[in-house]
Amino acid sequence: MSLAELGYAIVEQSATAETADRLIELTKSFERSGAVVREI
Amino acid sequence: MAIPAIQELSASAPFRDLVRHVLGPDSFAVRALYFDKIPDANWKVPWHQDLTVAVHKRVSDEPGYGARSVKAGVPHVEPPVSVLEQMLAVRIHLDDCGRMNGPLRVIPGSHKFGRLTADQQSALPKDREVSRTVRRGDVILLRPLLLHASSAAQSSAHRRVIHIEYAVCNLPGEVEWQHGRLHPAQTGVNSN
Repeated sequence: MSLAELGYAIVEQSATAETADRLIELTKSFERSGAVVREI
Repeated sequence: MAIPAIQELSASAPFRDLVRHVLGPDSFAVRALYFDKIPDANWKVPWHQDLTVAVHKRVSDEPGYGARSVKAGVPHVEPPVSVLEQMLAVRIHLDDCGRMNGPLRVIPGSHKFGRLTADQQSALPKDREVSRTVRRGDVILLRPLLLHASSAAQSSAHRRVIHIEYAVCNLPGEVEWQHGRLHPAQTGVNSN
């Protein structure tokens, strides 16, 4: 079944651990501000 | 999309490749959101479709554009279904998200029914529901019209997600995406 049929798809390990680490560093400033949902 | 690192992520080769396969070469990022679920801020998200888009400024009377609102200072409108049908969200998970972390739940195929009323949503068989657990670094591609929900997390672990929405067309008249637009000569180059 495709994304066209299901409306969603999961791509495993699309991001490397390095990318995830870098993004987590970025999100720490959001956490410090107390935001759990925000436009970025 | 005001943060350079998010602009870079949205235009990065892995993301561009994922989106290109679905929307074609002329897609561009129009909005990015950050979500987390933590013990102090943990919530259940009821079944819904993502029906609104962020726009550059408030518009009053563009035909087909309704449900105007302002969220966190950003104007939003509900565009025609034809616009939503040409959009795709890419959600990258920054933490493992197991059954205790409030994973995404979806009704597969529900995006094909267009905009659903509350009664139509209630009538969809929830026994078709699928709960999608993911690992750190996994990406979920999501059509905005897919009926989806999530439960409150029962774990103290973070459930951090960066959600980026892509579109393929400019909006009509005075309506403009908050970020991004299709340029006439665009050939797969992100405009942000």
